[in-house]
Amino acid sequence: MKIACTILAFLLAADLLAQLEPIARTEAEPRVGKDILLLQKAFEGPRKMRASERFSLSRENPNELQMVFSGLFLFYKSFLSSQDNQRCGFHPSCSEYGLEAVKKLGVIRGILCTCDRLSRCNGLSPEQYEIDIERRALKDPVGW
Amino acid sequence: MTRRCLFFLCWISTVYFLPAQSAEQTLVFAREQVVAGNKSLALKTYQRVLFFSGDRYRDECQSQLAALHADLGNFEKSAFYCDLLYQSADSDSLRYEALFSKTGILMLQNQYKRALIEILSLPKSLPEPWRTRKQLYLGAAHFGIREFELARADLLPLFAAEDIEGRAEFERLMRQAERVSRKSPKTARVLSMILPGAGQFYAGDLKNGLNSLLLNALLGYWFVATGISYTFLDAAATVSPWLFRYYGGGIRRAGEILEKKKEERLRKVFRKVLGTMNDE
Repeated sequence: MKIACTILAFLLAADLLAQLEPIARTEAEPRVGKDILLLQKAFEGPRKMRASERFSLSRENPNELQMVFSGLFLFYKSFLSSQDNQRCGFHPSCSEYGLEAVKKLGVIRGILCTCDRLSRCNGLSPEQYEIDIERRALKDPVGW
Repeated sequence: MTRRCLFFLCWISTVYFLPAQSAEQTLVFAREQVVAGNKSLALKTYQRVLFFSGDRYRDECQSQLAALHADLGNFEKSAFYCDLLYQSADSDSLRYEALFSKTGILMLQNQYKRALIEILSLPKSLPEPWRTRKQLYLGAAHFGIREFELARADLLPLFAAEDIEGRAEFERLMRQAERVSRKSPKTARVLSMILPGAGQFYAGDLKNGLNSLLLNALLGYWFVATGISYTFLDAAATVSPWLFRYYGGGIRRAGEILEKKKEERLRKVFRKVLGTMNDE
């Protein structure tokens, strides 16, 4: 019994000593070259979206009618919406909504949904929509 | 009794020496994951080491956690570990490194003022490699907040006195930055008020300038044509809402475009400044 107790005490003491190991000291190497690379990255700014990314909705049209709608959407987005004073308060914006609605719901239901959306795009009842904080817009996805 | 004692001894020894992964082994595993590029797994493993080993490998774990979080785009968490490291590190070099890492993270988030506050908290006199780094970051932060004179004062000593070409190029780039920053959004808006699209041309955006000019010209033509064909009251009722929508839009957008272009150009100029330093 005495032997067992001695061994146990020895083991516990060894464990305590192991816990008292010194803190591993770490030194840092200064690195000016890497700083320049990091700063170059910091001053790169946000990545510019390519036209194909911005207008990705207008691609992949299964029929001619959708191609026409996509063309109208592209024309409106590129030449009119970019100069407009007003901004749609919804996400997706009315033009994107229109195109998406026609693609998802077909021409008739899509046009009806777009008319409904245009009639709601007045900022009079924001409390009825969820807010997209990142885009600072009201969420209104396409749905029937 | 002896049998019991022996059994107890065997049992306690077996239980005590049961093979489990020690903190050292976990740390080695974490280092391997960093080398292999498994950042998420390395992050979790370092967190485990930090939790179970107490203060023993604290500095390495905090330093690696900050770096891994930054690599994974979790800048806030990375800044948190930098702060922890700065407060708990034993060596000055590690504390400085933590502070520079945090400053770098803030720079990546374009928070130049916060970066400036961090860098100014360093001691005034630093040993050589750290002093250069401090000058570099100070210059970048001052450039970021558009204090070009201060940025020039910070960055010019980083060029060797005999590097006349480099210094001249640096001075030229700084003058260019000042020229770019002098452009005013107000001027752009006033120009667009006088002639639609002129503000965009002033900002250097030819595409939008032409677009605005053509659109307003078209609406103007529509207004005149309607006025001649019918009456100018009819023209005002039909065309002027469109005209003001796009005319007003052009004015507002001219200021926005100028700010955006200025930002882009200043970034480009600073990247060139850094490029001249990189050539050294």
